[in-house]
Amino acid sequence: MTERSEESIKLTKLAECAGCGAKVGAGELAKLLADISVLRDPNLLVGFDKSDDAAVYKINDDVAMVQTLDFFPPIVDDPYAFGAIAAANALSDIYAMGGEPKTALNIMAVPEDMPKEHVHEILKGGYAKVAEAGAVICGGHSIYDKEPKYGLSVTGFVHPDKILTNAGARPGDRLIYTKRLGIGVLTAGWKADMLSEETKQAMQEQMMLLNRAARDVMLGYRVHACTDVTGFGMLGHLLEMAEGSDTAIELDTSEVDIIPEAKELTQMGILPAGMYRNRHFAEEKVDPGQTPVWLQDLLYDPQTSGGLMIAVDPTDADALMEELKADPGVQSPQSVGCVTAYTGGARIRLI
Amino acid sequence: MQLDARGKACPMPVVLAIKELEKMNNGEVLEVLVDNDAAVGNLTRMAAGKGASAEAVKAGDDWCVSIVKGGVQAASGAANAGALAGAAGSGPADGGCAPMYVKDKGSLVIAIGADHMGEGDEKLGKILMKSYLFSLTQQEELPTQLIFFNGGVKLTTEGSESLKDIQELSGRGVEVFSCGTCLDFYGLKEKLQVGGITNMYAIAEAMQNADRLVRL
Repeated sequence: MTERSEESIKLTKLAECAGCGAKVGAGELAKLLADISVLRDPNLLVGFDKSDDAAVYKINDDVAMVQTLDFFPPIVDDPYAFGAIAAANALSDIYAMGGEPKTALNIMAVPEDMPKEHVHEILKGGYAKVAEAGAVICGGHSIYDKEPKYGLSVTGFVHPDKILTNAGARPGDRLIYTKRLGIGVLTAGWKADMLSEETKQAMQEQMMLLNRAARDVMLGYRVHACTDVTGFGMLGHLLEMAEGSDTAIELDTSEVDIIPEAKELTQMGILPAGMYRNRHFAEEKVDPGQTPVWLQDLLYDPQTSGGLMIAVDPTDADALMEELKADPGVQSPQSVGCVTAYTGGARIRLI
Repeated sequence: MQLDARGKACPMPVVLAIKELEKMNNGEVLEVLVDNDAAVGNLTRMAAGKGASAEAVKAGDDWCVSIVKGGVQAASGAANAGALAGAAGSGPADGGCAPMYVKDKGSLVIAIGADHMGEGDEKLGKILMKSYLFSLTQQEELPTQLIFFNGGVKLTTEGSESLKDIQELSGRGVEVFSCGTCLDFYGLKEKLQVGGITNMYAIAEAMQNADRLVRL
């Protein structure tokens, strides 16, 4: 356990749920929306019904608009880092669709008694990250709330023929993931004051890392599907990909890069409630094989600002891996499995 | 020891429980009252990780998780025997909080001595056993312990079709033990996939102390 000084800011103590762990469960969301009818528009190329990362609206034959929105309560104590993480997380949905972010709007809730400099730092972190992505923040909205929250609505562009949804995976594709896994568990450990300063720092840096470099690299290859791994955990998002593409997925669990401290915490039972929601939602479609429970838990762990999960044509897979590995802007590319034909039964098999 | 962790968000219930357990002696029971499934999952995982035994009893909208501090990770036969014997004597009856909420039926031990269920066709028996273990996962009341001996140890080892169900039961707080002599006999000791290893002394004691014993 680590002690922190009295003066340090404990933003995470103000949050009931942390980061993407605060996300409403996928099953719950589907129920809430089940009987609400929406207008149809042929230019809406990707809508909510596809359970994808962002919506895509075709403007003309050359340009489609990608839209997304993401916000959450503090996941780290440092206000600047919180702002930057929230922004990286929101921008990621644009990258996961193969798009390029252009404009963004702030969404913010702050307690009335929160020191002004903290609010300022959160915004500074957000602006810096959006600038790094080459986009501009052009406004936003703030309200008072007991629990702080911050995030962005981001709009980007993509060529209508080059949209990467989570529904395009084909049997034979290899799956490549680009960040380390275990952020939700570390968040739980943080709330319990069980993380070392080094772990906190590394976790913060990982979440602040844009998926921009991974996106730029993957666009040079025959990528059939892409999604970013966030609140539903790796297995939840893979399940969306498998179902959306009507394929099955074999996940090579030994290849998944797990943050060592997250493994330790998992074995101590320090798990976020979101893990159980994700497990409950997906597990009947996942065949765990001989995978130990702690590893399954981590595969269901909700990630904040997670990496890209890329389904790439097998002939391009090695070259894509090599280029991702060589790129300093990509944290930890891992070849984690492959897409197979669905023949009934479990959608995802852990091997 | 009792701990009321209701109303506390994850991971606080398990963190508080770890702190309490640190102050306790082996064999002592910690009862933790929680109000959500995630806290139950965290507590049973924490107990399994520490080689302690845990039992979760639903109590209205809440759960009472009883954890018997078992000391070090149960790796040797002796440590397991201790954990098994300790747990056998500590059904909810020993606990202060469980009887307040639920009708106490006492401990339920299920001893499984074959990889098939019933006499007759063995192939059918294997299908029945698989189905039985799955059905256990669907019951409102879970057994306190599952003990596997003789051919039963084929169910807890590599290649068993019931691993997922037994792992689920174990994850939900059911203690799972396989007979060490039997694992040796079948050459399966290295292939154990779920639960701990126990010896005949502990098996005999667990059977004698069980409030209800089911033998398959």
